[in-house]
Amino acid sequence: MRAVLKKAMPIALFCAIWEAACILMKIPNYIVPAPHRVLEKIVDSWSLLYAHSFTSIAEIVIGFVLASVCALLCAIAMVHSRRIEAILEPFLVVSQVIPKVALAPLFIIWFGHGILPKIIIAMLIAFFPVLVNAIVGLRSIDGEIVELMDSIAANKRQMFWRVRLPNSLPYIFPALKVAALLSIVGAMVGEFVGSDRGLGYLMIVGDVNLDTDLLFAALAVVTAFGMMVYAIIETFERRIESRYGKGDTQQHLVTV
Amino acid sequence: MRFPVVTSTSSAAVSNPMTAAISLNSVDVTFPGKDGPVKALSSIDLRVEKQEFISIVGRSGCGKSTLLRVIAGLLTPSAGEIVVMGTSAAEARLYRSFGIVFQSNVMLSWLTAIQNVRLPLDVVPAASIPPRYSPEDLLKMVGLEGHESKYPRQLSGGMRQRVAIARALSFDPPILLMDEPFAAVDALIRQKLHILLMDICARTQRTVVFITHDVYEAVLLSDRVLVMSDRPGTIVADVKIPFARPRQPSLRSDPVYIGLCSEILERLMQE
Repeated sequence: MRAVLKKAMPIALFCAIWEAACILMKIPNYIVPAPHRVLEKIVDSWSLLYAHSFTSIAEIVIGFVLASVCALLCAIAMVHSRRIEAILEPFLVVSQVIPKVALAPLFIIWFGHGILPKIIIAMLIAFFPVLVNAIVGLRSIDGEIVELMDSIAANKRQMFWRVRLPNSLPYIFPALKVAALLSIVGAMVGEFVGSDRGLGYLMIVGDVNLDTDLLFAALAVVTAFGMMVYAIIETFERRIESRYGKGDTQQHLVTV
Repeated sequence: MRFPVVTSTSSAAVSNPMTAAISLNSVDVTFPGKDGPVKALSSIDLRVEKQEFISIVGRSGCGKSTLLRVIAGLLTPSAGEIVVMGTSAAEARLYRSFGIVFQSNVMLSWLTAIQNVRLPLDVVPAASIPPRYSPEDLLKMVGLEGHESKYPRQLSGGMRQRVAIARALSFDPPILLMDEPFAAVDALIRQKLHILLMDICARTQRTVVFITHDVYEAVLLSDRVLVMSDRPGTIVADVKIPFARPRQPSLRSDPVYIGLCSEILERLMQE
């Protein structure tokens, strides 16, 4: 409980300054609504936000899970065989170089206005950090551990389940945190480009109708959901950390 | 008092390699280097009898660890022949003939002490003969009772090394290969571990190849001490240690022991 308070304090302070600024500087509501108005809006249009958040959460969660699973399988295949790595690598690099945000309209054309294009965009954005970290985690094994496993005649499968996979977890979890947040970005981008449902859609509606309160309310709901997901993954990460040694996992995030 | 230092000859080639635990015949190891190939080991002839305890002493970087890896079948020599328990080193490795204690105590950090000791047993197919000592017994023997469920990071370097020794013994390998296992252990515990190691070897009839740079330790523990020279690594002396077993740490004050130690140290200095 104290930890939650500690984390909430800076946010509360920020909101207080925001509120004060809105009142003192007389900022119009259609530019930046004061926090109390955003809160009011959330309460007033709760049923609307609630309905639309389901669509977004489905896109985010499915996109994130698919991205993580695919990235893990890709990493395992690439670590397992040099040939697979050689085949996949150019595709993966190209998939990163192409700005996925620019692809979003194309996906809408291809896959329609439903949740599928949003899932694909979320997945594409979230995929890479997990892949890169999983590869590093699966590879970065102490040479003497390999010799130890060789000396007891462990086969490739045992090597994978007993050494490679557990060794990669401190690398994978920080990447999962990043990927979860990126999949939110992906889903929102997809909804901006073309949709009739979702929190991103509500933001566009708020924007077009100069209902900035609604835009901020939707933003607040997305932010709250993102923080929740982050906290859940962090809980798992802590559990791993307590096994592997504290402070170990944070240093293991390679690139994003 | 002087003792004969027998320079290694090709005696291994003469006797039958099939009856020895380990037999090396003119083994060379060459690594590719930046400025051409580097010869790490040169014409090593070595014969270790079953249940014999030999030590290899030499300065750091002389190729002791390389020699150990060659014996363990982890490194294929560039030339020469190795026979371990009547087969090739690589095959002996697949039969799980070697319990290895590495220089840096290699632990799987996500496993507890007891899980680390049990690791070789988990990897071995269940059909094999049950080992003489359970992982619990082994941890007790190395003085780590009550630390079973601790993770490696919660143990000191010396404790981790003792876990590594217990792990090497857990699956009852006929040959124990130890690469400076006590270098990171404090003197008091090292003495305890010396007694423990001699006791285990006496009870379980194991062949041991022990690598160290501590001559006193080598003489106390071994039936034979081999001296290695640097670059390329070769065996330059083979000293028999005549003391009866069981040996006591009080041997350290024995004049014969001290004489042998200084003899070997002198030989080591010459290189």
